[in-house]
Amino acid sequence: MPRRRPLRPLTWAIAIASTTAIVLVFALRPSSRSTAAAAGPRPRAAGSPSAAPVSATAIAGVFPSASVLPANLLRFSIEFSAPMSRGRAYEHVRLVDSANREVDRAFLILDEELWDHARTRFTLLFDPGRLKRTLRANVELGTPLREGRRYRLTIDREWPDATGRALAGRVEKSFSVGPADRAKPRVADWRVDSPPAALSRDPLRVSFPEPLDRALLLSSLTIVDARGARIAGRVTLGAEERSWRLTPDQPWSSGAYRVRVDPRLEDLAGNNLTRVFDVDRTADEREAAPQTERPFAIAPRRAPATSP
Amino acid sequence: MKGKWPVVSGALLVTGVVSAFVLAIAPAGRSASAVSAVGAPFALTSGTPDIKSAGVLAFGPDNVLFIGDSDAGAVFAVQVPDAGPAAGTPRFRVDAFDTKLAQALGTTPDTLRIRDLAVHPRSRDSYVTVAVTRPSGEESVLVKVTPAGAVERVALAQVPFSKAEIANAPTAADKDRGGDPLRPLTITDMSYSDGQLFVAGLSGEGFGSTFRRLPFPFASRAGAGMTGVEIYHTSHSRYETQSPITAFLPLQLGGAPHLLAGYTCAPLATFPMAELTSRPKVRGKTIAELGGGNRPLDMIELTYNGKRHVYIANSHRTLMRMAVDDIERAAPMTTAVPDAYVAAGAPYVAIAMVGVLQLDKLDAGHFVSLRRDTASGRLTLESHPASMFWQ
Repeated sequence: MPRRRPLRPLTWAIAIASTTAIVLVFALRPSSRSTAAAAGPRPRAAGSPSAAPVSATAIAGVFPSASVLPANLLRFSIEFSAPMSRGRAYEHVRLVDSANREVDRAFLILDEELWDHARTRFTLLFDPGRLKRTLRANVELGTPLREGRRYRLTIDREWPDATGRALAGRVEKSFSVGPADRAKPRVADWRVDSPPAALSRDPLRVSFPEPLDRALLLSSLTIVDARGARIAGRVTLGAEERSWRLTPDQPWSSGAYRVRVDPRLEDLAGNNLTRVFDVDRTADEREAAPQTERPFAIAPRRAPATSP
Repeated sequence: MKGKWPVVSGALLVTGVVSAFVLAIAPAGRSASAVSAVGAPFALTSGTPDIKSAGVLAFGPDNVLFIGDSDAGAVFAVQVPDAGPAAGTPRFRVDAFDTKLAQALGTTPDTLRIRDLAVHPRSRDSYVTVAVTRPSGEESVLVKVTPAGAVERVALAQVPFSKAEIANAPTAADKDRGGDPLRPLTITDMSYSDGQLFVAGLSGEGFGSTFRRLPFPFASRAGAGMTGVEIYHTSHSRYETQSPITAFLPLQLGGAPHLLAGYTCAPLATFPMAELTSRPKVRGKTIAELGGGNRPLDMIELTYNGKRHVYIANSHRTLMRMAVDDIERAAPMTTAVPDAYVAAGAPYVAIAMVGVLQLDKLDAGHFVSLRRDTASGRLTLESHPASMFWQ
């Protein structure tokens, strides 16, 4: 059960004053970039004697990184600089409203916490029963987040890492709440920004009209050439997870390419390409398969202009 | 929100909630450390399983212990040494279990997180998975507790074992995704029955509630035999919820094998096993609401005086007993309960036992519980006869 502990007035004042998404009470550098290879911070191995960290484990990022989030937000993910302990997460995260009251029962508590394999990324799910319209919890309690209000997700410094030590500092993510999102992301609405030049290793950027789920985004997009071969490279995400960039390992060749999307990619409300999270199942099943590819071309390099 | 209904209640909704599951015959991989063929009937090989984090446990046939490893996205089948059949009474009680466990591991109780418990059906030894936080990092440990209260670590080097990889979501899209990082998969419960291991899980990224059947011995060909199945959870509501199964039990109902599945907040639903294999979509039947704000932790079946009952340990309720007759008779729930915390559907008896964190069947008439005492806060490991709840 979440503990109720009043925040100190100073801390609260700082949070109100802040217009940024994350208030870092300790001097932490938020991570704004990530790569597919090291989806997030580089983990240290748990359990080996050489893993003893020189500095305390820090919170490397809290996602989504946007400062306005949908009322039916499905999950937060919290990334750490080193492996964390297991079984203590729900004691150390709280959702607090602008009157400094904890939002009760906002999250889905699982005996087996949701960690990635390196135990450096924790997924915190909102209680799905409160997000879906007409479900009992939704009718009686409403959604945990109300449109137009401000909230803070607070993460205790006392959350022990895998070696039992406290974190480098406590972290708050402050955000305001926008309308609920009950629309599927549509690949047709995406933009492939000015394709890179042939023979260059310039990044290809795909932009979205809304933020998408960071963890899924890192693994859901691929670029394939005309033969269907996948283009290897380094993936980074743009601000607020509204864009995706691939820097290829090899220079681009001219020709036809496609952005290929795993239809399980979700937006911040858990809507994926094939279904809305809060869905009228019977109506939805009749819909056509979604578009999952977006073609683009890289033009041949023009020869330098010569005078006739 | 104080004083209002605290949790979900899906139950209610039970009415119509749809749960997406994926049923798959999972591929199996072999560890590179395997060296020689032993344990012939189950295709086990001797070696050191590359377990990252031992979690959910279930016993299979012939001393085979299944160990769920969410970090590795795999289930390991490990053959533990046969300690022989236990003699004497199946009643035992280990007081101050948390202290004894900490002493055996050279640490203090506050560094321990007990993850699961399974009882060896012949030796009556309890096997417990524990996460230990040490200055050098988290350690994942399997321990054995004898009925006399002796606690010892179980060595997992050079043991007969096999491994089934289950992290990959079984959809066609995966074929295009070679080399991508595996999605985190959390194994929430496992159970073995008649040559098959059932595994319930949840992916944190896609929020997919998954249910898998793995034939045991594990298939040797990686990537073979995947089938996707979606299961509907109850009938009438128009809205989907992908609530995770927190505990389940294979159960004979009306002479046919079924799955009894417990969800967070806290509906109980049944699914015919036959339909879980052969049809693309199966509609589950919600037969009870255990009361909101709760989640079932473990379920077992026991027989007393010729009557079969299911016992359910809960996070925010007492131990419950439900007659299998009542489960078979229950009409599908199609309406919400009238108020917060109200239970409905198949009736249950609230047994005067609270704080049960782990539950496993010991034999036809006994079970083992790991319980936190409300007065002392200490953990007690104890076996109980089903008869004690009828006298």
